[in-house]
Amino acid sequence: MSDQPKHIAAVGKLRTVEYAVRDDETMPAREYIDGLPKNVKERFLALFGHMAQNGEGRLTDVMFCRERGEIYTFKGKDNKIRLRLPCFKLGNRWIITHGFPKPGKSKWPEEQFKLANEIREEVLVRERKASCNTKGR
Amino acid sequence: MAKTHLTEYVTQNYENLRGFQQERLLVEVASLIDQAMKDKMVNRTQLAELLGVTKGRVTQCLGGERNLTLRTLADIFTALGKSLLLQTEDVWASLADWESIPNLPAEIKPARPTTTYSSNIADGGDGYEYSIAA
Repeated sequence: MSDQPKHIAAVGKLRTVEYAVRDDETMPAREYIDGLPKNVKERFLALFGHMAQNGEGRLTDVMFCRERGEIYTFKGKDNKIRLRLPCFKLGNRWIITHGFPKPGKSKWPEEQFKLANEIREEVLVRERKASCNTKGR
Repeated sequence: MAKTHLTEYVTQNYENLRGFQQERLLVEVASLIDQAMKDKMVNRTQLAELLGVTKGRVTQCLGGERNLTLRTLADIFTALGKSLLLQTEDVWASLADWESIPNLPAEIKPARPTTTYSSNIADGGDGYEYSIAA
């Protein structure tokens, strides 16, 4: 159905996991996940479901962890390639910004933090505007 | 309520549901091991020593990467002073409860392989037909 919202990844008792929608209405995280091999996509969906139902405290640090500042990450693997889905928390919602393959055991490339924070800022600005509009009514 | 990406994916066909359920179980078991380690204040190095395996192998278990045997699972939980109890629940009931979605399909199940089995395989299919009840 075309009227289904596409940005909700999973809903559970404790959390909602969402894909960030950019100002140009693209969803880099969902596009990234949809392009992954079947088993890797299923792993991430299972992580989202577990997060939604049980909260972040029930995911091991091999699956989910804080990366820097407000940016956290879901972790996965495609064979030997480490995959990362940066995200941030907004109330009871975890919002995934985008996805990328992490180069080896090295730290995240700086541009990935920059992109995650840029998308986060876009979402926060929109949320603030929506909140002001609601209060103004 | 609208379907989420997760529900949309698992209700598409039986193979998606099957793959998701495998990953879900691996994630849940890894989470249980992690919780048991926290309860007993055992770190990865200590658990590796208790089990006589490498720390890397414990990390793989916590990442849900290893397809653990039931015997290995029993060993892990015994080393942590725990018993692992298993139970089943209806797959759709659990997902409906999980996502509070009232309109999940009643049933998606694999039909037995039919006489078209070999041609399906030759076409790159998986030899199954899927029936989705309304």
